[in-house]
Amino acid sequence: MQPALPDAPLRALLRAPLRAGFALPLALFALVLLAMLVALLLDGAVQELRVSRGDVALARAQAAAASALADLLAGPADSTLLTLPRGAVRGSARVEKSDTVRVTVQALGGGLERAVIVARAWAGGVRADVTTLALLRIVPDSGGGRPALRVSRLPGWWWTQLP
Amino acid sequence: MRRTPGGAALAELVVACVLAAVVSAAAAAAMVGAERYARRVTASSEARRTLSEAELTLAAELRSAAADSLRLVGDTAAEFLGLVGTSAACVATGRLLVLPPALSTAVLPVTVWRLPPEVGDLVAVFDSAGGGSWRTARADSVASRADGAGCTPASGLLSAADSVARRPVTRLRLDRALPPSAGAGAPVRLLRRGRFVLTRGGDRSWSLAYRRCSGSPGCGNAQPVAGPLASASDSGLAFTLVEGEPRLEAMLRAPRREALTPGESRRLVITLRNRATGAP
Repeated sequence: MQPALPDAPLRALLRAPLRAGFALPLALFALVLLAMLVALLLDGAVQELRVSRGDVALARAQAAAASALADLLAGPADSTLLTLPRGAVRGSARVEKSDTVRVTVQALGGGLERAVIVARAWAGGVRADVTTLALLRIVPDSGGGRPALRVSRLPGWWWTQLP
Repeated sequence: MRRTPGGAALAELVVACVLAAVVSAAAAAAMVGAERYARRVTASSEARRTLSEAELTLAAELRSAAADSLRLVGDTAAEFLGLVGTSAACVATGRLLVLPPALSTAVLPVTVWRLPPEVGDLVAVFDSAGGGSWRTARADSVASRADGAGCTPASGLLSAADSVARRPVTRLRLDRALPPSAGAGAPVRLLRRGRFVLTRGGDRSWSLAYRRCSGSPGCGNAQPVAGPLASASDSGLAFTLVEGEPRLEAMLRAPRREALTPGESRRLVITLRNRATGAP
């Protein structure tokens, strides 16, 4: 003979079989589907964003390099460049937030100069670097009243982008 | 007698199945749509990446080219004198030209090679005489020399550290003598004739390819650079030289993904700043 349980509700609870629910598995299944869907969309969007950011960074770096070269050509020449021995290097750098432009001028002798402009730009965590080489020479400036010097590009071939 | 809920009733099961079917159908439709969209975006990104790659290659090579050395062959090929490298003469006497090391400890290496120099390359040396012009000759021999080949730190173009480390200089023997006014310190560039062309590969896909055109008669084999691009009949690559202006336009198009939808395209405008030998 079995011993009697203390009260009736507890007896009923123990006798009842476990009820198999469907709401939780269905909700989990729906969640997994939703997560996959969002992941697919996000992956596409991230790819697009990275390509676009790379393009933007490159365009900004190219513009910065071109601007620095234009400044170099437009401004008056530093007469001390003429006195530098061949191979001597003179440089300057400009930093704007995280973007940098470094201009390095190397004397080749006889008034010939070799300018290397390295521009680095960032766009949303994507970096782009552009290196430009320009062959220049220092010539007398006939434009002003006072005798002065200016930077001129070499005749013919004078400009390239370096790898 | 008391009834206990011992499982799902038939009505509950039917409702659950119908609900599950409706939710699954909606989810499947959404998934298919999203997957198709994702595939389209991925393909589009891939096409844009390919176009960017082609654009960067064309821009890097053609921007450095001299306007008067460039000619179009049909509208899907551009022949040009491409830059092999730039430097400055460390030694320039007669037919001998010695260039400082490209692998240098200097902050600013004088020599930069985009490709290794080879026999047959065109060598342009700047001659300061008169208003200044570029003198050209062909390289009869190209050698890498660790002994400096006459290039010393006294030239200012070889650092003492590079000299001690015996970093190899490049010694070129030219097919003609340089004038004395194109001496040490003269800017030097090496050039090689090549052609960018739209070609069809063995897998029947079209791509941007490079063909070397100097050294042997005609042009060499096409080496794919970027692709796939749209076919020639679908304007995969089209060059246009703007009349009277030093400007080259290149239109690049990715292959069609669907019959009626044109592929991604990109228009590249290249300003040709250089001239081969002429006046500014």
